[in-house]
Amino acid sequence: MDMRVRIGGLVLDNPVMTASGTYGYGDEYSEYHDPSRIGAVISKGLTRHPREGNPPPRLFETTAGLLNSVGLQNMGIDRFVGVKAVDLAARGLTIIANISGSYMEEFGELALICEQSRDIAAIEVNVSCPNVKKGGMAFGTDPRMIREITRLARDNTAKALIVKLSPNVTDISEMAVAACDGGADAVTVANTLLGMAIDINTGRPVMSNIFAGLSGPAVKPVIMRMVYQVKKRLPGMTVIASGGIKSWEDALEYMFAGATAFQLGTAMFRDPGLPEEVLTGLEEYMRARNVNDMEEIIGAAHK
Amino acid sequence: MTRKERYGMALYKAPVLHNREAAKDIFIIEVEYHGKNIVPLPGQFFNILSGAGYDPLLRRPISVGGFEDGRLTFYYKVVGDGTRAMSLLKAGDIIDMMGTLGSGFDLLPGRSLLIGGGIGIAPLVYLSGALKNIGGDVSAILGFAASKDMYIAGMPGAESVTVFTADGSEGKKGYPTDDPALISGADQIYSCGPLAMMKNVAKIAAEARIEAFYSLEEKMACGIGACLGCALKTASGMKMVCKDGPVFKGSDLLWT
Repeated sequence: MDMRVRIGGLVLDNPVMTASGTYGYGDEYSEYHDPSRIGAVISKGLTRHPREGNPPPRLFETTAGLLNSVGLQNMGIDRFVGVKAVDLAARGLTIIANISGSYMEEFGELALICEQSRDIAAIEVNVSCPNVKKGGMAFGTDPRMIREITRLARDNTAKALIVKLSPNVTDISEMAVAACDGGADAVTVANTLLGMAIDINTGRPVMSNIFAGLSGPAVKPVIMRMVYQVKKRLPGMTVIASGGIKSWEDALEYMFAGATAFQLGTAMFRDPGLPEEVLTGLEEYMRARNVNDMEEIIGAAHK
Repeated sequence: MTRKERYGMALYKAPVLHNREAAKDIFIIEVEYHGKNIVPLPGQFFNILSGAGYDPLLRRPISVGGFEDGRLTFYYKVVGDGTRAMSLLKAGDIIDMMGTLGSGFDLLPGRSLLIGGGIGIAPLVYLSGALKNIGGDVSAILGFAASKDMYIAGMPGAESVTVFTADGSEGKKGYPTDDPALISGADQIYSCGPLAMMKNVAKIAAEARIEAFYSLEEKMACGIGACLGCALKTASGMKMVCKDGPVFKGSDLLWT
């Protein structure tokens, strides 16, 4: 059975990805499933220099959801590309580097570092982190900035270029158009939804940053609508869905809505065997329904 | 070894043997442990899922309170939806466990003093027996809010156990760190409990120049160092309570 999908010039064995920030640096889950079977593993958000991230508390569980405010804690791009990625690629993992600049030009510099590494298969540009003060979501809510950042990255890499969009906008398809104009091969829809919680005992916000990013099954219908909207506006654009997938059925639903690939995240914290379960479930579905090619499913809801 | 066996080692379904309320809101659950070739270390924990639905969404990290003959014991306090769901489990029910997780206590010879408060005593119960097994001398100072909150009768292998209750309804009235004289003479201290108590322990341990180890608590999601949610700023940089801990050396902690 052919589960391969194409993201720009990159062909993945299957459409399963792990969402940035939920999968560590790629080997933390290796006791629970075989990471080399996953279509692509997306790194923790990488910045020019190592970052400590936000002070605790960083997590707060909500109904079928999770608020997080990790704030891009990471080892820095040099160490990831120079050490970690070399090791992971040698173990057969397909690695996508998620990059986050603190000013626009830095996205070009980070993309160039990835371009020069043969261990990085593709780049996901993060213009949508809700938990950092400089850059992050501020970039991802302005179409001109998205276009410019995408172009800066595009000018420095021939690898597949993905832009991870923020859902915290009025019309996400505008942002997808901007990424497309900047030369993106695909868009990830979407980063976390901005949310908050208040401790009724203290009357104060729970998270030290006040707002935090909501993920998990609770967000799925919202992100489903956004994937559908982007695919409708840009039928030729490759869309990668990310939002609350907890089963192969959820993943399939996103593919019908227009996703070529999808990212697993929060539900993996609960079910660390999820990537293999989703792969097996999709394989069985394809066999039972006589689906030979992923293209038969992708965007079928629009037809 | 099949793929399933290879990757399923740290994740399995465990039958509940019994689950009962031992004190107000504090339960003891015993489960059959399948990972028989992996003996959990004192201070390590399991990430436990007790319901089939998606609310609560996440597993609950619970430290090992005891391990004997393929049976694991956990003590837990009902504080929210996750632990409430756990409290409803009955013998024969199945729980989904990830583990063993985390970095446990170093088992050191000599005179060990265990200082625990409330539900934080749980990992020390397992530690107490383990220290005795390596020939150590163990004594314990335990604190509870009141006699009705006492969920254990004693510490396995401990030569002496001093009990404090905040309201004086059992043992001495006050808190485990009220009498520093009880603490001097130990070669090392192991502590787990409320932050305020552990901070006092740290102060006394530093003055007496006794090495101390603390088991800390933080909200967790993945339990394996992937989500970077349970961060703790230490003397040697940002650490994850789930993977680098939950046990930390006193010299690493900033107590901010």
